Amino acid sequence: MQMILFTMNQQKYLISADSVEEVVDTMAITPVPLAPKWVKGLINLRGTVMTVIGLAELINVPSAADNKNILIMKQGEDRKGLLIEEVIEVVDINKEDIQLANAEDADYYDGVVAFSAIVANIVNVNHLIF
Amino acid sequence: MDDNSAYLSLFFEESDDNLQLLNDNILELENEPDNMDLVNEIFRAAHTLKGMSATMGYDVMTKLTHKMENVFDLFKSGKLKVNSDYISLIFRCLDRLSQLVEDLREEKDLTMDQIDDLLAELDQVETSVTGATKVVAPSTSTPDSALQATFANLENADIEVARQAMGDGYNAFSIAIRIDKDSVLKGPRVFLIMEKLEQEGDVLHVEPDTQELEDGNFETDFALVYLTKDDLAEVQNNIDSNSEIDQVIIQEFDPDHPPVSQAVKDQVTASQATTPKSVTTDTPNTTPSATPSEATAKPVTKVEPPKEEHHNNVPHQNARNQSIRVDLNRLDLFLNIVSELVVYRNQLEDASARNNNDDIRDSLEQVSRLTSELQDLVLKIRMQQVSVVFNRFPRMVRDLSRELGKEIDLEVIGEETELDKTVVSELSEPLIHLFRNSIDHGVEMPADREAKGKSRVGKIILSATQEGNKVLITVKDDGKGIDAKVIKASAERKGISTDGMTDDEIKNLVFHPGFSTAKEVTNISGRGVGLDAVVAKINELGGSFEMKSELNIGTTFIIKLPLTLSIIQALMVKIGTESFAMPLDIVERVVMIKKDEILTTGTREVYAFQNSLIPIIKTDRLLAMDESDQATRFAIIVNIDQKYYGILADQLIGQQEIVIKKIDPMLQKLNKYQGATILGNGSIALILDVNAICNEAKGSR
Repeated sequence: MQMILFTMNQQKYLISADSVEEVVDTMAITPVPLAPKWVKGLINLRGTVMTVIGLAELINVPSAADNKNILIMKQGEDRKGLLIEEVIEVVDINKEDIQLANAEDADYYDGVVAFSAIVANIVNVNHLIF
Repeated sequence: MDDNSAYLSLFFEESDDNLQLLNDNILELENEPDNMDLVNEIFRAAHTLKGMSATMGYDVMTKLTHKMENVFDLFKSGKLKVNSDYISLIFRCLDRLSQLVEDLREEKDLTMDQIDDLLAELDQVETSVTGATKVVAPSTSTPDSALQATFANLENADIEVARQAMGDGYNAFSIAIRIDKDSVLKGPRVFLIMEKLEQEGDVLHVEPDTQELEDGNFETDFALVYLTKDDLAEVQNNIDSNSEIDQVIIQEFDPDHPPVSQAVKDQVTASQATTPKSVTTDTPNTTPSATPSEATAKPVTKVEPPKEEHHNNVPHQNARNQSIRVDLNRLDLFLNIVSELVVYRNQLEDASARNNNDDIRDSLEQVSRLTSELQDLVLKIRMQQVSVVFNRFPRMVRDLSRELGKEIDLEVIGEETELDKTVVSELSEPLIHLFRNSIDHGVEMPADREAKGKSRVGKIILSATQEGNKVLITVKDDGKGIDAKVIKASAERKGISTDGMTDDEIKNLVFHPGFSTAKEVTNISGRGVGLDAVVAKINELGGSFEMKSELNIGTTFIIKLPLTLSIIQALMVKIGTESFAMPLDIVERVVMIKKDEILTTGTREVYAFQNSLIPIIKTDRLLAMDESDQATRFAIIVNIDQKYYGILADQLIGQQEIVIKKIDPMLQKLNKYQGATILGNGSIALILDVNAICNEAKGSR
């Protein structure tokens, strides 16, 4: 299956390409006072006001100094932005290569993949953000 | 049944329409019991309703409509005189039918005991007149032992049309169908079969004629000539896809030897058959392919039986409007796209003003103009007449005044005034509250009115007018008005202090939650909920509410609503470094305010404005932002429910038209923002929900 490989604070992560509509460069994010801490704010995506969630804050890992990309996540008609450090590439992952699929205790990890000297966690956060 | 889901939404829409039509017409019938046109229109609507529910297989609904129709039949034949008891019974039937439709909408199953009581009452009415309850016209078609695809009234014109169509590559079939003799709903079943056939081709001729078929005035058989591009097997499949069919014969139609039967039909059939035929023969000449409009038009073009000749002149249901139904979601999408366009236009204008490029400016001006027109247009398309809501009140006034023994005239003005669809659909609840108030508390009993030198009949005026980009809706009665003394006494009994209040302020106590002045609680109003709920709802819709009342002259409620919810005039301010928008219509004025002008009293911060102290809302603290230590700031004085609040801002940006964009439900739950908007430079500003913020400040006292 196709997955998007990205970094966040030197760590590598994978996310299913099916849940991502597009990848955009980060832009001005208007903060929303009083919102939960993992809500980074609102962006203007081609005329639509969209909420942006910080992945680092959401899954409790240190945030990077410079976040360069926003993944536009989709679920049905709903869209939300997910702020990450930087997208590296789109990779094909075989199901068999996913290890520790059920070993993680956090429900936003779907396992670990090791390939060509890279180890990456598979994250799945749609159930948290929609 | 097959294909029900596809028809379901149509069924709901048309049921609602027909029930509304029935309600309106029956109300009118009470005033003009001898108006036969009206009775006929009522009859038609009831009949359509029955046909539709039968088609969908909702037997409970069908039974009730059928019984109701019988009563209309008695009105029509003059055997029963229209009186208000019958009208009330029919209204109760209509209410029950609306309830049934609601139940169906919620996918509940209907049961007979939901209507048993009404059926019994309707039966009683019927038997009181006729003795027996059967009022069915005699059947006209003769039962054949063997099913035959032959025709008694096939005209040469039909045969010619078939011949021509066959030359154009169409197949012609003569088809005979026998419906299950156990079928309860023959008419609707035939209607379904025909509709399916007409999706694939054209029914050129049918016997018995459509009117008879639809009414179920035939035994089990009917025959038709059918033009289609399908072959025989496909036609067979099409027909077989229907249920409750006993037997089918499909033959190639031979225009040279048309299958004309020798059976002699009686005169009635012959004379009746001529009229609908003109409908069917006309259409294939133009386009023999899909004419589904014909199928839908059929139930409307009813022809009355010849025995009541004068009814043939009755104009058919109101001339068809040139309009279509559109899914509201699509309109919302359309509006969104246009709003996007507006945002980009603003950005372009911004950029063009900076770069001073003449070539671009000219075409940009055109684009700007077109965008504005498009924006106006889409807002107009979303407009709906307030009559949708106003319609129900004549009925409500009638029922309530009868119940209370009062006499009330209702005048409705400006029901063609238009408002955004979303506003209209939210409007009925607050208006019902206001009406209950006026009917129950406002207008006096006839004897009391006479004693005061007023006419026995009270008057309520419901009106809507447009004023700029607002719509004013008023409910005005000529009743006893609000007596400040009574309110004062009642308030003091409830422990509400009225010291130093003016009469107007005391009168406005009726909006206080939990305040009711009715001496006894009736089942119409006076439960202590109502007026405060009205105010809350109107505020939610972005409108304002006002009451004027004079003792023994009457009370007027005035609701001001924005024309549309999606584009508003806003005041842009800066709090800290962020921009925020506030709806301009609640802003009373803006004042410069020095730090030491804000007084602290206990836990509250107030400011002296127009000789009274008003609460100050420190937005930076409220939004958990860094608190500003600016020496002078701006206080935006807003008026919420006739009370002033001062909202602090660090900087004024100005006034501008903004498009309200919905925000995440998760952010809406914070109860601080109405939405967000995109500014000309592409950045986003949150729109403060001033109502919620001020109400919170009030509650936290």
